[in-house]
Amino acid sequence: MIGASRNGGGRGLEGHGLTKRYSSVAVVREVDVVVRPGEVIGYLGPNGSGKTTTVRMLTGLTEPSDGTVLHDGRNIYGDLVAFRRRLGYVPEEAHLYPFLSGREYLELVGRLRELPEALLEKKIVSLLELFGILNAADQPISSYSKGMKQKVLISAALLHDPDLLILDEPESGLDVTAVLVLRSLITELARRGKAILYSSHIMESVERVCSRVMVLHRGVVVADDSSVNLRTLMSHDSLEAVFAELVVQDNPARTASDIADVAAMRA
Amino acid sequence: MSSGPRRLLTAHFLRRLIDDDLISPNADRHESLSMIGAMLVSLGLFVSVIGSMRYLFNPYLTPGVASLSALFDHFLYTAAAMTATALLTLLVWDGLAVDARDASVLGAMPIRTRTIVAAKFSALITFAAMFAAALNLVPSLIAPALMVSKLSVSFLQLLALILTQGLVVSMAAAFGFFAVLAIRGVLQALLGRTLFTRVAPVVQAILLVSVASAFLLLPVVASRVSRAWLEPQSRAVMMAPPLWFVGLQEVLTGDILAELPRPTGRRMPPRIAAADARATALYANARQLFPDLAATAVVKLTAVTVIALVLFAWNNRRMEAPPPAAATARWLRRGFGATARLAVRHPETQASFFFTLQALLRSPQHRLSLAASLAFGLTASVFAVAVGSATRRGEAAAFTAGVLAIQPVLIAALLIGFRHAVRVPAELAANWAVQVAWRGNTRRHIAGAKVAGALLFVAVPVLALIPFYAMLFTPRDAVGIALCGLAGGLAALEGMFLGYTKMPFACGYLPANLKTLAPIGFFSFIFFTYQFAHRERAALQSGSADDFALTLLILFVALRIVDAVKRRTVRPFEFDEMPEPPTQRLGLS
Repeated sequence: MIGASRNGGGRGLEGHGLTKRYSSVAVVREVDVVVRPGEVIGYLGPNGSGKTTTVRMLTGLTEPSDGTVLHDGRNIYGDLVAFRRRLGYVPEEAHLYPFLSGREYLELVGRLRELPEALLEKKIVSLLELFGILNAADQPISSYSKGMKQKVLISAALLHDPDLLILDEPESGLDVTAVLVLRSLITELARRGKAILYSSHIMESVERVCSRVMVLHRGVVVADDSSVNLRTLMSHDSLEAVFAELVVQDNPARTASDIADVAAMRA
Repeated sequence: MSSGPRRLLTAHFLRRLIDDDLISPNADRHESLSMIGAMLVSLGLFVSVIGSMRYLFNPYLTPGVASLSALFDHFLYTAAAMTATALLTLLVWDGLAVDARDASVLGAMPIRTRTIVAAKFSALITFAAMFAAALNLVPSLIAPALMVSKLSVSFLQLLALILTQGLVVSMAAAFGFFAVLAIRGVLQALLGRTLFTRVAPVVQAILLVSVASAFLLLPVVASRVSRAWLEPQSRAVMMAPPLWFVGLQEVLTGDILAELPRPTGRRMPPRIAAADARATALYANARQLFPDLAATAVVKLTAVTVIALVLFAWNNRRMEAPPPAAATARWLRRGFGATARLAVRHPETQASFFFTLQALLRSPQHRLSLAASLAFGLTASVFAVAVGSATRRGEAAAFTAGVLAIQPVLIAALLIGFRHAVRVPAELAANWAVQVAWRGNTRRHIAGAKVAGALLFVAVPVLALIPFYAMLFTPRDAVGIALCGLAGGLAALEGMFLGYTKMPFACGYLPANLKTLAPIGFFSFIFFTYQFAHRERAALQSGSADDFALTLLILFVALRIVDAVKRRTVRPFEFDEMPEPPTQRLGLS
């Protein structure tokens, strides 16, 4: 168990009372997040609910207006660099250096993280091969598809064997096979003691891999429990139905019909 | 097909050319355009007024002298319009065709490909025309008026001079624009899309350096060309395209000045009359060339326009995304990587070293910075040779300060460009990756960038100049000069980065206060490079070049120690420091 020894006794990631205001408008309010080693927390919410803002606060890329982020009981802003050494992060948007190749990008990240050259080379080749993009390893990223970029991002997040993984819609652009691999990968990493925050729109993935689910709506946590408990409490068969009841204001079928009507309008 | 979609697309392409290809996407478009427009208009006004001094302050300006002097001015305005427009066209090189973005966004729309291509072409022409108008409007109105202010010229004649100048500089600008477009078109048609994708950045860089150097050298070239014009044996110089358009201008309105009535009797002193007669004879001698040059201008402009237009249509006949750029040969990458890792040991320094090389050589805006600094360096080297040789004419030919100044001038210009380039983010949106992965101290990153800078901007120019100095002097002298250049370059590089605390290529870009820094930087550049050349010359003449190189090496080591001491304590910096909003100076934000 590679990760277990490093995570032994760790308290994982904790965000308490996280609030973010832009020009006095709070986009996230009083959010509490706890991710323990070996846990996968699903983080759900509709577009614009504040998921990515929370994720950026938890990674230290955006400073909260109020609240604290602790890793293993220590405020991450006390030593942001030490925290990031143990963090693997896949952002929502696949922003990469377009003039680098996939291999060069991973070399850059690996060297910045001071991985030994031989180990880095071995890891890069293995990860690219396992993700099925080794044949494009030396092509510039600008020529990559969205899914290929996503695979590079996931590989970069795993290169240094982090204790904590924050994945913001990591399945974006991936094909069905890759999504299945990702789902199993998350379960396997959690089994090895990693703390994982998994933000996603795919309810099925969240339901399968997450031990607990948090639902964010308009910047506020509206549910925080295991998916089984949530289904039981709200008397629904699926997480999708729970999510719909918590955050979907209008009848989707009605909205869809209205959209079709607008599309069919004639002068 | 209605013109609606084409007009809309033209506006869209035009806006994107300005927003994405010319101005940084993060900059305020209105502010940047106002600044560029104001800069072009003021430049035109400044050059027109300065250039007209010799007409305004000449107490005995005669038609003969005026027509001869006008040749110099006409060449300057025509060449400036041509090279500046060509430069602008080269700056938006990637936007000169229907590209991948257009293919992916517009390819799915129910619009004919030819409509899209026509709109793109119209946008390009409008873009170049707007620039040419901003650059040439003021000189076209003011320069002819100031030139003839002391001569008896009627209003209609003045109007003809103004209109002709406007027409000719516009044609010259069009030639500069279409020539670049034609070169690009010919290359793409001959090489095919895949090979063109590989070759295009190199061609763009070569053309940028050549045209920028030509633009910066214009004042020197203009005076030489106007002299050469009067010497029949130097007519090869007249192969220069700006001269074709000067010929056209002289054909159209040259006789207005040349045939003005001369003052007679006591109103013209004999000395002035003699000068006028001499100038009139010289102008008459040159005049026989004008019809041929004018015809060449019209024919070549037509030809280059047709070629550019036809090849633009041909190369863009299908909307398709360009093929992916080819990968670097693996053996080359591995070989270089292994060698570099021997010299650069620490992983973080390696990361920065390789990333610096990759960003400088592959990122379009960084290549542009370096092409501009290389052009400036080459121009300054030419000036250095001219000035250094002129002041030492009485002395022995060996070791003139001008020739020795080439090396420090070139290295200093490149290092200034490099120092600027490291502040510009390689890709702003991708900076998060470095931010998340770095280990809290910039020292090793800056060290990696400096090694890459030393390799590209000190070692490469020094090595490239060894054969030149070996031919000029002796191989031993060339080695001595190289050692001095190497040690001096390393010391300069170390000095330039003493106060640099940010992460190279990975922070937001905050423009420096150029109003203060540019004059200081320019005079420091002149002072230090010439001081270096003079001291190097003294060392070479006394046979102590090795000692001079050693002194510089000690200076380099001392600077490194100072740098290491300064960086022992980590100084905080902002990754995402954004440019101040344009309203800040007005106190509105």
